[in-house]
Amino acid sequence: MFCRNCGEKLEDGDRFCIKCGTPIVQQHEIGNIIQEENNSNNQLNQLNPTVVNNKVIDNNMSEEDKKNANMLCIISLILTYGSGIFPIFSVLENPDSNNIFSILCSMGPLIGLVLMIIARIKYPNSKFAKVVMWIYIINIIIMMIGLLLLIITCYAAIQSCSGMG
Amino acid sequence: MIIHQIKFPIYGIIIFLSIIIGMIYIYHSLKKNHYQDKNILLYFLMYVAFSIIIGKIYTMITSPEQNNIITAGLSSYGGLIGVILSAFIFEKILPLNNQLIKYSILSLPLVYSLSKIACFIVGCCNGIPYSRFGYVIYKEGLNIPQFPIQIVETIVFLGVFLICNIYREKKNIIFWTIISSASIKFLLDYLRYDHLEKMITNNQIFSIIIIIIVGVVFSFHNLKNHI
Repeated sequence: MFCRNCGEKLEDGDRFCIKCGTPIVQQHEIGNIIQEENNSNNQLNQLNPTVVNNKVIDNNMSEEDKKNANMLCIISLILTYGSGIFPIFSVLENPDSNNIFSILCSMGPLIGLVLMIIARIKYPNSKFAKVVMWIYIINIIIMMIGLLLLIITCYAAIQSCSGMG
Repeated sequence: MIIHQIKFPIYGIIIFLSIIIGMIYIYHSLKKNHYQDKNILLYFLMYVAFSIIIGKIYTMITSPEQNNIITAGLSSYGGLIGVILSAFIFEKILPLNNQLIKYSILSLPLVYSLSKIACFIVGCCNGIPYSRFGYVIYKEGLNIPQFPIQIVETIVFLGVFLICNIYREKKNIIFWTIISSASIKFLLDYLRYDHLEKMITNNQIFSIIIIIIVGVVFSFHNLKNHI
């Protein structure tokens, strides 16, 4: 068996192509379901393949998979936004607050991001995971713009140039 | 050469450009290996988030006076740790034959090399007092002739990147890229002004730690493969 995307040889039981990461399970399932639909409806060949694939993909997720994907996404959002709020409040209340708390809280968004990526890769058909991914993309773009503004307006913030770079 | 320091916005622009160029290199290399855009996008999300947040966490650990994640400075070493960590975690989630780790690590000398151009222009991370060929004077800095260490770092690390890139299909190239970069960084730090005030700088300690960790990990890995 070979990968449809890159042609890499695959082993039986592989869920992803080891070279390019294309999901293998999805391809099998789509193939099986299309075959089933072909048997029951001869007009299927006239339909737009994308529409067919979308339909298959929607039906492809079991209830358990949906539940797992949703759970991962909810935990991801809680970690990202929940842990992001605490340092802001603690700094507003006490600018000299210790940084161990801030460091621990800032790990939250990273763990949240990893959970979202697990959800996107393990459950590629989950719409909720897709929405959460776009939330992260927007967040990261805002973070990059914020950092650029910070660098432009505050030279002292660049630690790398005070003997660490 | 006498340089009047240009503080902004050149520094930020060059640092950002160097990160973007590093990402373009990774994207181009992964596309050649038929990687899916979706997976590369997911990895870049981790790449950016990890390099920025861990870059700031590193600063908070090494400079306790900077206790707010939002305003804490961005350390280049912390950023490098973030990039490596993100590649390892992504490979754990979606094993891609270590290609992601390889290209991420190969991009680091390139990003570092380009970012040093910003330091040269701004006048930070400067060299030891030196008055022979090629010295620089930062009028708004120490105002003495100094060794142009930033440009030397740019040229040397660009060379490391090019050589490692030529041999990128060789076995253990990840190991050699890290070991050569860390060793060169250790040696070049002797030409930094910071070194005059300290026996051993933070960068040198960090370089030694990297060399030891990577040496042990690869020895163990090779031993396991032989058995």
